[in-house]
Amino acid sequence: MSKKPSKIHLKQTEQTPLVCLDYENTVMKISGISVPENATEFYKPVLDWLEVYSQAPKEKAVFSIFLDYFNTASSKIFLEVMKRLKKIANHKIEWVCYSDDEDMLEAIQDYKEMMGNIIVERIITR
Amino acid sequence: MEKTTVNIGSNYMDFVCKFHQTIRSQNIILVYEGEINQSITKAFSSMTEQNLEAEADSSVTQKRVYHVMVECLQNVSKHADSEKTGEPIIPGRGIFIVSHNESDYTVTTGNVIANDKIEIITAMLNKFNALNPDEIKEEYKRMIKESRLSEKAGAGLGFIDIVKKTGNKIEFHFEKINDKTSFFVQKSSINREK
Repeated sequence: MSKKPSKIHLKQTEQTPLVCLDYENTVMKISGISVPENATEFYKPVLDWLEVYSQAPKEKAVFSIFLDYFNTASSKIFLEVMKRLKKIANHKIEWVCYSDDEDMLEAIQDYKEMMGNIIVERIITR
Repeated sequence: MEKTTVNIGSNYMDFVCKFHQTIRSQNIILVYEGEINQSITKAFSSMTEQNLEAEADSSVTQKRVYHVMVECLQNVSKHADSEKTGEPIIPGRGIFIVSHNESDYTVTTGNVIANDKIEIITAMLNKFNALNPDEIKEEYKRMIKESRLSEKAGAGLGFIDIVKKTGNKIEFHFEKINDKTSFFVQKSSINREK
């Protein structure tokens, strides 16, 4: 039997987002602000988690992203996260965004153009 | 570099008053010189966030200013070089200025870089400054896709992201310090949307 990835729960800080990766409850979530200077180091556990998860994924799951800001260092990592999820069947990314957040809407559009229909946006009003 | 600094002489108090007047007349809301590390970045970005909220700017403008500040500060922190040797120093050191007028905010950074980087930075900035918004968008996507997951490979991405978000060109200047290094100044502006 493949091993299950152990739960990751990081609290939101001024520069880093809340990260919750919970296999048992099928929760995959990043929310808040993502401007770590060393994004590669910060997100390494997330990529490692996905690596283990992809060995024995759930039949269907949604990875949720809801961010206020992210820096360019984070943007590269997000693409990497999406590439890994795209390889798993029946997995989607739900990107939540406020309707008045022009720049975030544009960022989602850019990712959709790069990654295709794995990304589903959910636009909410404040 | 030619000595063009103001001579303070014996009247330090007079210098302080003039310095204060200069800052006020240029509408500078933040000026800093020194090491630029994570905690400085954190402090300035939250400080400006609070300052901006007092002004009548839209949330889109506020976010763009915050975003440009973070990218500029992290650029200095990651890519500044030592004045004497031209070798990288981490965290970097430099000057950081935020100002605003009726129509826009400006975020300016200045830091030492090795002379052998001048050509590549100039080529990159001239290229981004010459592209139209659609071309910028395509180039940005291409760069994200191609950038490896290394920290150092992100310098150009910071610049293009600023041009993309602000819709404005990045102004820049190199002032030679010695055979190995120069002072690199870059200025980004963010239009104030009401």
